[in-house]
Amino acid sequence: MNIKFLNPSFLFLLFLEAIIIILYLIKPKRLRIKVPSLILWEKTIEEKKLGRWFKKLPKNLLLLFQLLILFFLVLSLSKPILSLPSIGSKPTIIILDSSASMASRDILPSRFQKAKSEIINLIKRNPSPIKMIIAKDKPEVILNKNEREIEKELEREKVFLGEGNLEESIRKAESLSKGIPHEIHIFTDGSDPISIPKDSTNRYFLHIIGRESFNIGILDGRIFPKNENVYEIFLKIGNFSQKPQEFNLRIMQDNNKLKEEKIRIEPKEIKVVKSEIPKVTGKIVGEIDGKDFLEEDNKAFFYIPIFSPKVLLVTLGNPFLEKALRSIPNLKLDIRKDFINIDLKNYNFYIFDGLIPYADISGNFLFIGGYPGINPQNIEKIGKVKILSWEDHPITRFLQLYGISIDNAYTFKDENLKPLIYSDKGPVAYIYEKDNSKGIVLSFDLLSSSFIYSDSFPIFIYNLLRYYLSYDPQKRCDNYMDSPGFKEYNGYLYAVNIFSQKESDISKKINIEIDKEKDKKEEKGFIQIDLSKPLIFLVFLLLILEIFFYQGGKYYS
Amino acid sequence: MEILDTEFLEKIEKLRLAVKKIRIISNVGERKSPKTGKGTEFSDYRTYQIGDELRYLDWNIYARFEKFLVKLFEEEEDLEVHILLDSSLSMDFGIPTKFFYGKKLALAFSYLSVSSWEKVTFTYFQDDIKGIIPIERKKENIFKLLDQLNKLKAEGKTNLNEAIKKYVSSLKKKGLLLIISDFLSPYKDGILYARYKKLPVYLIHVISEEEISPPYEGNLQLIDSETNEIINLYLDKSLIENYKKTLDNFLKDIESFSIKTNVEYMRTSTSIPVEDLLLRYLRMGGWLK
Repeated sequence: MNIKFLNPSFLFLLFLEAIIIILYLIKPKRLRIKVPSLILWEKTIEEKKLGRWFKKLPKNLLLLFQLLILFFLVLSLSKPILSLPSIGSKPTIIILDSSASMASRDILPSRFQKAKSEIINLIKRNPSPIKMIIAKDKPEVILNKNEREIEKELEREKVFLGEGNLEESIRKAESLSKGIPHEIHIFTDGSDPISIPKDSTNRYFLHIIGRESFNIGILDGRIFPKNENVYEIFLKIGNFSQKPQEFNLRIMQDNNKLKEEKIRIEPKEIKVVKSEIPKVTGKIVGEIDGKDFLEEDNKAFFYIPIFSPKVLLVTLGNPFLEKALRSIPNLKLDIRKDFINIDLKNYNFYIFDGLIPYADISGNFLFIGGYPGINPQNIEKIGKVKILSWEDHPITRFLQLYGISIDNAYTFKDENLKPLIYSDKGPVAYIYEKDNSKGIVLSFDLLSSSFIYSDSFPIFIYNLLRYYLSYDPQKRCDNYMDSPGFKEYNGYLYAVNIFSQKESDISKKINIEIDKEKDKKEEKGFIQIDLSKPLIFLVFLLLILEIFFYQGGKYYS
Repeated sequence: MEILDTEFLEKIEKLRLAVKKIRIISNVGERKSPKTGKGTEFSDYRTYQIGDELRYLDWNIYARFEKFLVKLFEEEEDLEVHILLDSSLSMDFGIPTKFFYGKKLALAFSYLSVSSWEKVTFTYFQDDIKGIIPIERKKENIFKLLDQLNKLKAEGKTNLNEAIKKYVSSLKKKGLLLIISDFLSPYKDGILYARYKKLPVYLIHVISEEEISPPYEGNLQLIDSETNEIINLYLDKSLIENYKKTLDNFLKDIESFSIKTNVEYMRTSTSIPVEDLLLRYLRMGGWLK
């Protein structure tokens, strides 16, 4: 521990202390007055309640205060900096991995809780300014908070039951550091691989939380109607342990067991389990009874709402499309060959097959071959193409589009279009969003492609209608991502699941070499505390005392 | 400054102490006693009773009404006046000093008492009786007292209680007790003792102007004139106000004490001339007539 002065020249002002003492010594003496008797004077002073108490004070108390005030004032002006040995001295950024895998209980109470307590310990022994980033799917930054406030924020923080994004959080931390060297502490279980920028001026410290990686998890799930009486339920289950695992898979509907079967999965194997259940609506739960460290992914929640869309199909004739639509239970279909005398309010989904309206239409739709207000300059003919890939989207879920050939395709360029399906020559299907219009645009004629013959076509139509017409109970519900289950929000019931292979695999996957906290502990740093402000506070305090004692004790001074 | 002023003495010569309800008989003196008896001045009649002296029978009445009535006369008493002057250092303040003022008062009272053919004993005290000067009923003796007073200086501490008690207990005859002091020491016990001895007590409280409103301010070291005790204080207007309140309470206390104990009390300031005090205030107060 030592004290440095940033402005030591001010210390010369301490000679003023001597001047105060000299002034005190040579100050004019009191006027001596003889009075007949002090009886009345003593009574007079006794009537002032503080009188007696002040009489007992040391005679030179005010001088002492004056000397101290000057002393502390001069010290404060000279900017004393107290250096104390400490672990951290640089400004610090803490990144807390808040992904679902942090809910694992190989460390009790959980990896996340352990990380939180380690962070609090770090904050307590680190006096430097601290910023914090909670690594969810998007990093959440906690700025300008003191130690206590950060602790409170941490207490409120819960595991985000989705995929974390440590890479994004690291980028955020780099931007927050603004070129000033920071210490960046990452608290993670290592299930999310990360990379550190090579040219970073910051020093990284990795705090790995978690010991074992035994977990069986449901990685994905979906229910489809197989026919009018049967649903097919698909569950993707992974074994992230070192041993083969046997467990029961139960399908429940509102606490009634619909089906139970025994499953065996080899180590590191991911298996898709298909089960058939009677056609039901309501809450469906698929659960495995294996005991592991991450319980949150042992259940899959599904909610099947009653689905009855009213669809307008405007087409010159497309039997495949009609068939796909008619196969959807409870769907009311109206087929037209033109737009004349159509009240659009009667429908909640529109399919324009080759016949494209000129004006924008509010609502949900599928445009085939074009879209309203299309600019001919933005159209490019790409001719005969084959589908190569597609975006991961609820509409493309369970589709197998690879290799589907299209005889005559186009690509569109529009800021309102976002590619969904790609051919070898460019996108052939787009997500269209403009004002109140939402839907899908296919840039080819269905009848000139093999898409309509494939098994994926009716699924595509079904997904499309499910996605736009019913709220998707499996859509992410950000308000309730703290625990899986059925959550009600805005009058809709949502099924919240983790459904992430990355999060269910709770093993450590980080293999980069960065500093460990152990090395850090050996490093000698200093806490630097600026004492000038406390000294100014002390000066004010003494000044108030000086005034108080002067006022109260002046009759006896 | 002259204590004795012949013009002043002439003025006060005609004054007499108006003493109420005094019943002191040794020699038949000049003072009327509330008792009726062996005086020379007719007071009243009463029916003759066996044992009454025949010489006091009014034969003229008998001659007219055939009733035996006895003449009654006002009895004249001899009053001894004891003047006690506080001569401690606390009296040595004011313009003129309280002590000078007290001496002048004492002289005046002595003179008017002697003029009324009354015996006077002048005593000065501090913490004890320091001197007793008896004055016989001759005006010439006033000058002896004057000599003594001129030599007298204020000194020492006051102890009113002790001095009064000691003096009163030494009295063989009852007499009027006139105490001139600033009463800046405990006094109640002494006066109560005097009242217990059934002495009529007259208090003259002399205060100087600087005691009424202190003329100084600021950082002061106040020194007690008698004990040399010191108080350092900052005297400002607020403290002066407080002092005045304390003084007021002190004066009220003496006044109420005097009323309770049936003691005559007169307060005077050194700024009031003694002549004015005697000729105006004390006459108005019924002390003199």
